[in-house]
Amino acid sequence: MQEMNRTSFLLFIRNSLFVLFMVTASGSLFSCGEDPEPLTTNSVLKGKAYLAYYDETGYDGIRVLASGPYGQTSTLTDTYGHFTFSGLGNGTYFLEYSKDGCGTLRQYGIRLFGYDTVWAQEVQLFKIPGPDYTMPSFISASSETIDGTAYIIIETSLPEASYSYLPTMLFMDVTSEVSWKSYEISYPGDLDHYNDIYINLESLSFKSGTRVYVIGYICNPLEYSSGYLDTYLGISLYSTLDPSKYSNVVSFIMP
Amino acid sequence: MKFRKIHLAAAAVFLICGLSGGCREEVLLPDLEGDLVGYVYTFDEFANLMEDHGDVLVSAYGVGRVYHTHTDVNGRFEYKNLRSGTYELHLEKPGFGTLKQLGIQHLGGEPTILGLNFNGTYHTAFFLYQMSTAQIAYLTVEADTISGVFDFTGEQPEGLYLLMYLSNEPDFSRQEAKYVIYQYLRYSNGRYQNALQYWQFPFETGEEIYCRACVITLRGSISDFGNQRVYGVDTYFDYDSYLTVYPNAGDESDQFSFIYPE
Repeated sequence: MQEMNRTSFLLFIRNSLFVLFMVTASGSLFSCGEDPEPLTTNSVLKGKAYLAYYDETGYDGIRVLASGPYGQTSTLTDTYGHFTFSGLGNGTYFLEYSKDGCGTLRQYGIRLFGYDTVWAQEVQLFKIPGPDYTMPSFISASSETIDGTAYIIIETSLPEASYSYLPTMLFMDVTSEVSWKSYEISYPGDLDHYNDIYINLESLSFKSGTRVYVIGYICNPLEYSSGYLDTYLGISLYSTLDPSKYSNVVSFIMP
Repeated sequence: MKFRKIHLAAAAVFLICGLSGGCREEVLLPDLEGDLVGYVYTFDEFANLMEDHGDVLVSAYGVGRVYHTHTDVNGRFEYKNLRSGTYELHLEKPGFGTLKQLGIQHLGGEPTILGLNFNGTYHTAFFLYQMSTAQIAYLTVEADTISGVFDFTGEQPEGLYLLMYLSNEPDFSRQEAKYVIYQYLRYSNGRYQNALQYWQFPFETGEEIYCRACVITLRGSISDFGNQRVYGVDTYFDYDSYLTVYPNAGDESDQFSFIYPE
């Protein structure tokens, strides 16, 4: 009996050691490829984000998401639009700014070397036009001088007697393939005169005699001069533009 | 017995693989990776913007390794999962001057973006120009006017630029040049000419000034991304020769001289 107990014990030890060997060897084999460890964890990232229109709730509550080599973390802006991330590890980050009802922006290429405080550029968020807006058809585009000012006038399919706000961004190019992704000039196209859209000719830098093609999209025209550059994709974007709501293409000859 | 031998053999195999193969790869710190993105614009020899910026070979020289990629038609290039470190970039395409950029810092993590800014202020991108094929047939300076005759393989431009190296010593090397100017010449009456801005020169009145020049054209900046200004990175400093290198500079002219006027 004692001999049998001793044999069982030795078998147990042998089997345990075998399992331990397997675990250790597996750990050595697969230990590379773990998540990276930061060299430093004391970088600070500060910035400011605010709404392009005054909201009765103030400037706070914009969500800022920091994405980097060790994962993601988020915070909210304070009443003045300020935000701070502390204790970040070294590496390159991007920031994503968002708020309900507003367009989302991404800011790439923020580098933290360690022991540094970095200021991210100020960011403006714009309100997305409501879902009830639809893009009318463009009927024609022609040039006209009114009170000494030269315009390109785009006639739309909206009823002539109506006066309504239409948040629109126009995109112009010398090819009929013009779109929000491929254009030469953008222009805020909200209705100024009932059913027509007026474009001040001084804003256009096309050569005289050039045929120019125009398309419109539902978009907050306040973004006009602040449409942001997605530096990763290398294209200008309008965060409030709805690519599914667009007009047909019309053209005119540049006077 | 047989089972025990299999046991031991399996354990030995696993242990040997784990110890010898698990972490063979050299570990550099920090061990981050990330994408690296940059943008290139290409121009002909007279700095006219081309439509297709594709097929520029971009080589990234890092620690013991070289990585290669090409630009797409829009001039964008990207390295995926590039190891963190400081790189030297070489941008080259047949018929174009090769541009180098040193000290490209890539930390790893989210994408490193070269040159473009989120808020539209001071974008930069790499500008690559076709090599100059214009030959300098004749150059002279009379009074305050520089004029010259050039041979072109293609269409004759309305104007061109010269990079002029100046010294008050003859047979000077480029490192010994006392002054370097970027001079525009406009075509008029059968030759290219323009006034020299003498007031900038560090020489004495009556001194004999020696000069060599080469044809070069640089654009400076362009408009893109919806009327935003993009400034060109089109030269680099060579730390071996201590000279600024203009990759698309044409062949140097013979040395000629003129007297620094009153």
